[in-house]
Amino acid sequence: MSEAELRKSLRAAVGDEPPLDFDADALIERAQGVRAARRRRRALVAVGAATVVLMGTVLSLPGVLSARDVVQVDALTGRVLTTAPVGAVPSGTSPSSFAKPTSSVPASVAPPGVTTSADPASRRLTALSGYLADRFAAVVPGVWDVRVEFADDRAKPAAGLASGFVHFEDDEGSGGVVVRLTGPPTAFTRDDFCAGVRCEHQQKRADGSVVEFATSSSGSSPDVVSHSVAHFRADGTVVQVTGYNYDPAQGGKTRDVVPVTLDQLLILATDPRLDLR
Amino acid sequence: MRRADEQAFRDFAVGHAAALRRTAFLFCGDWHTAEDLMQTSLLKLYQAWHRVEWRDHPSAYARKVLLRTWLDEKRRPWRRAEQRDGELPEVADSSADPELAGERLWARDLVHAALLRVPPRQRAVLVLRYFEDLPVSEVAVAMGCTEGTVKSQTARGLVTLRAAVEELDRGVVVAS
Repeated sequence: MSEAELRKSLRAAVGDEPPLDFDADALIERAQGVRAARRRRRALVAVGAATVVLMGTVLSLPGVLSARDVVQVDALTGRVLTTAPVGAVPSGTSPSSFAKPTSSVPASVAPPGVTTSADPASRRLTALSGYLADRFAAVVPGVWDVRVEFADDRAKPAAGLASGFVHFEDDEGSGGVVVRLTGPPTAFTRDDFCAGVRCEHQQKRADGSVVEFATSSSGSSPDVVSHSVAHFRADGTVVQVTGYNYDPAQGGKTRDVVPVTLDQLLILATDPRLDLR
Repeated sequence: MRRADEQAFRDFAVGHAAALRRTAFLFCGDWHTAEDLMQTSLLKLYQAWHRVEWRDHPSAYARKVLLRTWLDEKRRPWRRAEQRDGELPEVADSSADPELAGERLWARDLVHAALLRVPPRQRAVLVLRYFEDLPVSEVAVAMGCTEGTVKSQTARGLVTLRAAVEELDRGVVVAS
């Protein structure tokens, strides 16, 4: 077959062409509808993408912000995780009872009542922070800039445990007190409290509860001292309050005496409103 | 789209719809599909009508769109052609007039049937070169390939077409 024959055959193939019923206006109308639908689809996708970005920002921002400038206290060991060790650490201090500086980065204490989640436990800790700040300022005269933070940096928070840190300023500088609340199902016995520290004496109260007093001293110079009071309540909960002669959060100079007296620690530990429930 | 552009498109569509449908028919071998291809191509052309560079050669662009639309349609799984290799029942065609069904008509149908056996891209090259009478350079633009590829596809397409014509011719002779 030659190319000429092919041309001729192709022309002949369309010889029986049916009549064309073509409406240009209908086509243009349809094209405009397609264009409008495409525009709507693009707008919908843009709105969806913007919503996703906004939601991501809203959800991630509080986590990012709360991760900064917060003293984190380990609920079980009582270790302050973002403090600067300047003074020595008491050699007789039990890891389960006293705060130890572990980081060289100075940390500040977040304002009391700052929490990021809205679950009941967090709300309870927020309320406790506010109350403890007021109560501490009332019990310990001559302090200012009192800030309280309850935090738990454990990967899996334990039930019945809460650790708080009270930061304050007085005439000699900054100081700190660790408050630890324990309750069922977490058990905290008097043996646990006295492990590694010197338990001075105990006080049995009329309601059946027991108060333990303990002291820890490094024995070195300068002597790093901590006083701890634990109230073992009749309902099984324990409130432990520990004061130091240095600032456990920021280090700094070592004082001659612990700025919070045993009587003041006792008032705080036996305060019925300091409770996990 | 501005009113002037819309009028220009309208004029183009009215003037070229029939030609585009004919080319589409030679591509696909079915007038209904050809009509769909023509409509779809003109819709796409309307969306791109604002592109200034194509205003001087809207016919070439329309051919390109038509070819792409057809090749895209062929690639879709639900558009794959049915394999019609079974025995067809011998039924008398009452509309066929033996006087009209002369040798020319027979040859025309034979070539068209053989064309449908040629692979799609080779078929497109043959249609554009021998039906549209386009030079190799314009076929290359429409196909989106080099001129050398157009020439080689043309040569292969002609060989395939001739083989298909001979095969169909033998089958007709044997059947008769």
